[in-house]
Amino acid sequence: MNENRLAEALDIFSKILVDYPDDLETLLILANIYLASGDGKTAKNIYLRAQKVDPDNKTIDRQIIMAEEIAENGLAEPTPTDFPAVTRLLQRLTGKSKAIDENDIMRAAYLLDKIINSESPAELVSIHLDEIDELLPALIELNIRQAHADGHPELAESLRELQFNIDYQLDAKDDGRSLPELPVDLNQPHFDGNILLLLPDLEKKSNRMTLLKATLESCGCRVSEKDQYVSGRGAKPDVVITSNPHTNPALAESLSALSAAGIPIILDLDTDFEKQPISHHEYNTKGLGIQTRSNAYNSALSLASMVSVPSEMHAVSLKTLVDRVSVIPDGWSRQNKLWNKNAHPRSTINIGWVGTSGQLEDLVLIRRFIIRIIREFPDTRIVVIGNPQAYRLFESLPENRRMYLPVVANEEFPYLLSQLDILLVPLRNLPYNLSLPDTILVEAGARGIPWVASPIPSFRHWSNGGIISESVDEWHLNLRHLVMDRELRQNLGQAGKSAAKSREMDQLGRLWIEMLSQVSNAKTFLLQNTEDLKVY
Amino acid sequence: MIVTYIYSNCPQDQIKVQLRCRNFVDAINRTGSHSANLLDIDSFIENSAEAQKLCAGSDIIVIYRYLFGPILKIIQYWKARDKKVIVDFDQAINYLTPEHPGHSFWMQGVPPENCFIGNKFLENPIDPIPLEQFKWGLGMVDAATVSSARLADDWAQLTTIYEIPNYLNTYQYPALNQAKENEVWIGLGNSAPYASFKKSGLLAAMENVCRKRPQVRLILCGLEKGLGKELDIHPDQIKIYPLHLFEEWVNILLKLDIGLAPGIGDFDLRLSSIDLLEFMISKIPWVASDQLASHKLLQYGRWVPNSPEAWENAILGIVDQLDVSQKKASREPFLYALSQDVSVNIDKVLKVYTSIISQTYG
Repeated sequence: MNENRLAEALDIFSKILVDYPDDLETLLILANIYLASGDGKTAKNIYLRAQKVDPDNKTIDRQIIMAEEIAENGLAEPTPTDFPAVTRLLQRLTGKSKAIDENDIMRAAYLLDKIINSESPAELVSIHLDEIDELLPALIELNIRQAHADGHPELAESLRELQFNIDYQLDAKDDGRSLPELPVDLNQPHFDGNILLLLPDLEKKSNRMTLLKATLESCGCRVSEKDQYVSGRGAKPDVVITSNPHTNPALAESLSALSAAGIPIILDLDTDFEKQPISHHEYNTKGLGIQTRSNAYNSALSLASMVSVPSEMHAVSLKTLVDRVSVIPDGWSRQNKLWNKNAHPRSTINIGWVGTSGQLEDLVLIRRFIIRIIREFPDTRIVVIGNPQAYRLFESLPENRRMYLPVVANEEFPYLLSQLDILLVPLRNLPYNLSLPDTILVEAGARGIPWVASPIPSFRHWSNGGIISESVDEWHLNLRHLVMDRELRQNLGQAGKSAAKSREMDQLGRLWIEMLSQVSNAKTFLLQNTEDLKVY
Repeated sequence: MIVTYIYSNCPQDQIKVQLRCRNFVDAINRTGSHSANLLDIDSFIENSAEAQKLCAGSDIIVIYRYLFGPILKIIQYWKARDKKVIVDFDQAINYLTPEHPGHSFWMQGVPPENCFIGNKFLENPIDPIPLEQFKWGLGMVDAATVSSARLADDWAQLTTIYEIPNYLNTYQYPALNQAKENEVWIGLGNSAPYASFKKSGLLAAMENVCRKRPQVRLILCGLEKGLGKELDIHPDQIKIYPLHLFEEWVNILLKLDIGLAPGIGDFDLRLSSIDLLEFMISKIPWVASDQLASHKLLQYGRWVPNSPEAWENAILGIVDQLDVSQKKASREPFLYALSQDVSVNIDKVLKVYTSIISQTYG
């Protein structure tokens, strides 16, 4: 893996385990890789083998618990070191959308045999052109297996790269085709009413509200924005979405007027303000420490027909206070071209931390590991975004090994992220942190940046495109792996990018419209294959 | 190529803005095949309609000296849109001492008075201090251009650095030595810090020179009038001009009979040779600290060690044979200065920009 050849590395690890089934280090590496790929059952089986070798190892105990948590419905690989199992693992790690069906491989083998033994192979190829096109990945898979069987791993690796490229291009082609072609009338949920976004500060709109407005408008909704509603003045909306209204307690009056007029109110909360610690940088402007804000918060909750939040944990804790809470995660918009723009080439591996993703104390947790990695690998650099105090934590490093970037407008945030090669999201085990949404990991995914993060519930649930560090000590190991293994970085980045498509605002817009329809009892057509709106 | 220079509005920066921005704009536009614009830093920060228009149409954006606060954000904005953004600076801000005018700003974060470098966006004091933010900014820009080789060496680890010396816009110096009856005007170059004037022994030397030669007048520019009272020189022999505009400076420069360029310490060592070039294009004989000695200019003036005696002897020697010295100054030194015209050298500048535009690593 150090030489950036994941397939080869997996092949070597598998062979080591065939020859030395009790090699603890290899067992743990392979188990970790299975875990990273999302195959908790196979990972657990290998951890159990490792536990027999080293029964006192507490880290293995923790890993087993974690593997159990992410175990999917499928079966564990019976022999995790055999070739088909490793191939499937590789496919999951590299973000391939689907494994190649064994039936396709049989069909490909049959077709190939027919062509080779035909008297006029050219004619046969011409006749079966469409089928060959369809079976291309299976044909390449067949050749990869043959190359392995013949003892040509380099050829197999080259073919594997070709296979990935084809898969990637097909995937990209699918993306471009499927979204615009969605039948508008039958499949799109729609909402015909007037929507009012009632916001605490029109000049400082949250990213969530900015994206929501643009998305609703692109879905054909009529959306207006105000920081005040006065009954009888202006058109009466059909539904109101208000975002963090307690941060401008004057909005309470508007909400009362809207409620009195029978207009359904969706209260959208960015974060769990009830758990926000006093030390949080936004506590003074958004926290509930001030009586007026606290009162405004409670009154907004009581007036809301529905509360929407981006985090499931937050929704669960709100359930004790309000009847209807829904989770609509944060997303990103492909309308912002910076998400897909190629990063400027650079000669360093930039390890980054974003100030908005946590607090200084969270970064302090792993500071020593970062410094150790930066010292160990001369081509690395720490990049701190948006927190000068955090940047000062790295003053012991030479100036050319650290970089500070200021926070920019939401629109340029993808550009900031593009300056990172690895994103770190350490979070202490605090109630507030545990309630945070997965936004930053989704954004990293949208930019194709692999991450290492703390095991908060939303991160665990997202899990795509990065590595969870279960304990503080694992940060060094995981970061080191990512720094050393370019291919792993690329593969995780690709996996994150692929997963982040589900959080593109076109997808999330459907959830919002579904919710709007629910609160206004409007007639709605739901798209069957979108993520369901979770109402608690 | 289209270049946009972002210049500081600060009155105290205007002479340097002339050298580092306006002169280049003039010369680039004179090429006919390239063009350059000037944009004030406030418009740049506010991303005004004019800023949008100019920057969006530029191949390269050159920010003069200031990298802090909102400027860093707007750099990200333009870099996200694939613009090459560089900084140009001409001072060793990391070697400023409390005697230097910029010290309180760069080292303590005190916004300069009467200055509009995005002041409305700034806190007082600016935190972190602008020097620290300048270093952040160097990590963000595509490259930096500096006015001296030592500056280039100092900052090379933080970004790619190119040296672009200060060139003269020669037509701005008509070399008319204006009659001043029987007075001999001796003055410092515009870049020379007043602290160096004192520390180099030149002040003590001038006190003696003025005592020994009553026709001598000491000309001090860019200083407060009250300063003359501190000096042991007869008030009639001191002329102090608080100036901000380049034209005001040139008007004084052309009246000088002898030019002085004291230099002492790390800050001065990193200054460019523009003071000497300005003396030379104005046919003024000069004396300079040998600390600043540059092999290119070695033969065109007098170099002295930083001691009152050495300065005094050199200055008296020129005062007493002023005609000879001035005739000498109007030959080789003047011709050399002509070769340092910005239009003559603009291709070198454009070559640097071309190199930055084509560089792969950001």
